[in-house]
Amino acid sequence: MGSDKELIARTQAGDLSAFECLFHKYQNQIYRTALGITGDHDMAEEILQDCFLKAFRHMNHLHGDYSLLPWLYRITVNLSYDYLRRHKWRSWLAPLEDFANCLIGADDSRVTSPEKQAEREELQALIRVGIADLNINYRVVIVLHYLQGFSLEEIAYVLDCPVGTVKSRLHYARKALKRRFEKNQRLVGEVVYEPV
Amino acid sequence: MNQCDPPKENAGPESTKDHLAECPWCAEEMAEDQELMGLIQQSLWDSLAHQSPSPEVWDRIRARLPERKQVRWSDRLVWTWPRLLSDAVVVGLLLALVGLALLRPPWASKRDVPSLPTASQTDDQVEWRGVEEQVPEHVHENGEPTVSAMLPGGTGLFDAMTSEGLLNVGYLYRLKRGPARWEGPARPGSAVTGGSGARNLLP
Repeated sequence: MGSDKELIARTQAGDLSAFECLFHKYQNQIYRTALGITGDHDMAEEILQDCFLKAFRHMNHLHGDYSLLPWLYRITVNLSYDYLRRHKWRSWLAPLEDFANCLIGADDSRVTSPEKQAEREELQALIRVGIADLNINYRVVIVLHYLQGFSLEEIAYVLDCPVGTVKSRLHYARKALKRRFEKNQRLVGEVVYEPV
Repeated sequence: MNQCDPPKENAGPESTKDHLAECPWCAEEMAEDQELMGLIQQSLWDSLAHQSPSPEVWDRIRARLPERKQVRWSDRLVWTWPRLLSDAVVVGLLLALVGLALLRPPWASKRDVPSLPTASQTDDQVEWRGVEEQVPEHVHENGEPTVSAMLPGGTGLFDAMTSEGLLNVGYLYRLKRGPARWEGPARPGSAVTGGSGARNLLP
């Protein structure tokens, strides 16, 4: 397939097959990030498409030593913000559960017993709804940090903001998820220990 | 973090570790946090790590790439001609300015200070008195010699009118009688030259 540097150089020279190689190399990462942020398959595909069209258009600005992936993530996140702003009506029409259901695609191969599977699904559904319910700024850092494994510095580059801002957003996102989790645990507890 | 003193703000990782080893509440809270982080990670991973875009996405991108290449030249023409036009206007103006500077008409070489009248023009209206002091000489930026003269009202800068290379500077008084034919510069006095001076101030 060739290194990014080589593929970028070939694309800059007008070789579309090199650009196709770049697309196939990174399409899943970009698509999953967009899906994690927007929670909408169609929108995520549109973002993926626009991201690569934009990348192709500006490919000549990339220098040989420039890293492609962080740049693609930056485009993806910016496009996600734009799409969510433009298609606000979609989020009004689609309830929160739909967003969470959209994220469901669990790999069930590791689950052995039906009880464990049910318990795990319940917890994950709770987390998914929690993530879907987060403000977009918090959701972006959660997706980049926990799905893509980005460091705080890398997220700061992608979002073009100070590391301190990333740190604080991550902190508040975790706090919000924890609050939701604890609240739910309390409700479950009350139901379980309710006197007969 | 409750029921215990939190670690100091500036504490490093070692002291945090020590604190967690000593404080069961914080250790418990830390464990809960780590469990939650694991859950978030697992949840995101399980739900997103196996999602893929449809294969048609590349086809859609591919379909738009050549289209953009084909229209690129016409697009460039449509979108750039106003900019080209404005660039051309700016370049034209600059060229005109340079041309004007190089091919300056005779009237442009004269300074704003009007030339002083010759002695024959002022003979019957003014009287002359010589200036004893040494008069410094200047060359104006347009290349013409000028002189500054110490006059009763102050120092003035004037066009130097030469007569056979000799320069004599004096200051003139307007006669109280009769209208002046010449409207001199609005200065207390004016320097004029005659051909009988003893000093040659020009190079």
